Amino acid sequence: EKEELIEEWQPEPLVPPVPKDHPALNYNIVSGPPTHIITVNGKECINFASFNFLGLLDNEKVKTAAQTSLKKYGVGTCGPRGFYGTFDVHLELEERLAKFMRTEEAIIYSYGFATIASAIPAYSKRGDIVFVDEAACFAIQKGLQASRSNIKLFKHNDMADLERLLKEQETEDQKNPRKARVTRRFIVVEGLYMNTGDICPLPELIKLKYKYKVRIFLEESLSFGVLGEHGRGITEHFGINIDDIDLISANMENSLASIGGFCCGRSFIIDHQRLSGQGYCFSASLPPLLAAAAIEALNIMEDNPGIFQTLRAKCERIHKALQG
Amino acid sequence: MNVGVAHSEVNPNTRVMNSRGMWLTYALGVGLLHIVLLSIPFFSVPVAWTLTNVIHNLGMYVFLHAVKGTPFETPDQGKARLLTHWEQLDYGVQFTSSRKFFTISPIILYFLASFYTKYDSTHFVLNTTSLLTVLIPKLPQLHGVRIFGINKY
Repeated sequence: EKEELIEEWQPEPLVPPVPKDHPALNYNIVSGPPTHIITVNGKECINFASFNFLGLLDNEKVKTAAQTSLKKYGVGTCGPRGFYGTFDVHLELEERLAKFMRTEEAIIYSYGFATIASAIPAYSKRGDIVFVDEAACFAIQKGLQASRSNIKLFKHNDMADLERLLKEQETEDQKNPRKARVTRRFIVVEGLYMNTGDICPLPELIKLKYKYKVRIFLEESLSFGVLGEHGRGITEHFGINIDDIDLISANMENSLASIGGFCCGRSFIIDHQRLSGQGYCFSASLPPLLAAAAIEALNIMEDNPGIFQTLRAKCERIHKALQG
Repeated sequence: MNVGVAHSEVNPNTRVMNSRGMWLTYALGVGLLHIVLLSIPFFSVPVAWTLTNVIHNLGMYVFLHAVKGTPFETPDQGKARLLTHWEQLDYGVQFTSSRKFFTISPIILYFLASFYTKYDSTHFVLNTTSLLTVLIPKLPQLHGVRIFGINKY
């Protein structure tokens, strides 16, 4: 009887039978470089799926600069910044970014996601309080998780909600002043939110910052090279003094058509990340060809400040066309 | 942990007292303090012994039970920020050899001081109170306890 059962048993197939026209089996093939126009299945389409806002990804000058750098340095740096991985292009890019953003110092990370995810835990530790917007991007969320701090979420772009949270924190602080003296308070916002496409109300944030004594970390990944007269981001857009923001972090993978990210601010603040930024100390540094490409992209941004107006005009035109 | 050596210790404070030569240095340091106090001509031998005991206990209290956190950044996002060095030793494991050594050494000093002060009452009171200030925080029941909220943050 046992043999009957064994003979009857049919094993289920490891791979279930799949019809031949399953969508995952028929790829759409892209030929050619992914620029403004992308050739999919032989058809030329407008590429709405990339963050290449200024079109510098396909720029001849940027490509030549990258290729020259490739011939000079090779591809990778084979080391973190602290162990023979610092090249002159890294130092040059840091200087250029600091000068462009009009801050004292800048620091380069080799991976855009890791920039803000390493910057937040470098300053905010256990027992510190961070007020974050609900619509913060995934990189910020991972940075906050790594920091082990107390997170207080406020509704997206709702300054009244943030003020309510800050007032609650203030009453708590008055009840326990000794604890308040050792807790650090931060606000983390993005200039242009990746999840909703809104701009954060920075002037009100600055007022709240000085009223309740919190530090602001501004994440400018999407707004760098997009907002502002010369592309310096949301601080230029609102006309705010750059010294009011404690740390600006951005990734170079959007407008700057490179890879990696940077943080800029006062030397006192940025220097701390050179030893405490985990993504800086314990990752290989940015490949020099990408750093050269970023420098060339910065040159183009500085030489043609008109491209930002063009970009904004085009954005408004598409927005109007899509609405009605 | 040896000094100047690459290690993966998250908080070196936990293992510094187990380092090579730490106990010997500590004992010699106490001996040096005592010899310095003995060389001052104004202090008689009992006074010198009581002073050694009191100064040693004061120093031990300040460095092991009053100062909190670490003088360096640790990769664990500040887990030990509110802990004294005694609480950080061996990550809070009680009755390790370092803890036993540092509990017994003030007791030995107390015995020597009581002997050399010929059990005089004023010296006795001073020595006993200073011994208590340094023994009570070492009890495992008082791990992480902050009486009256003193030194909590």
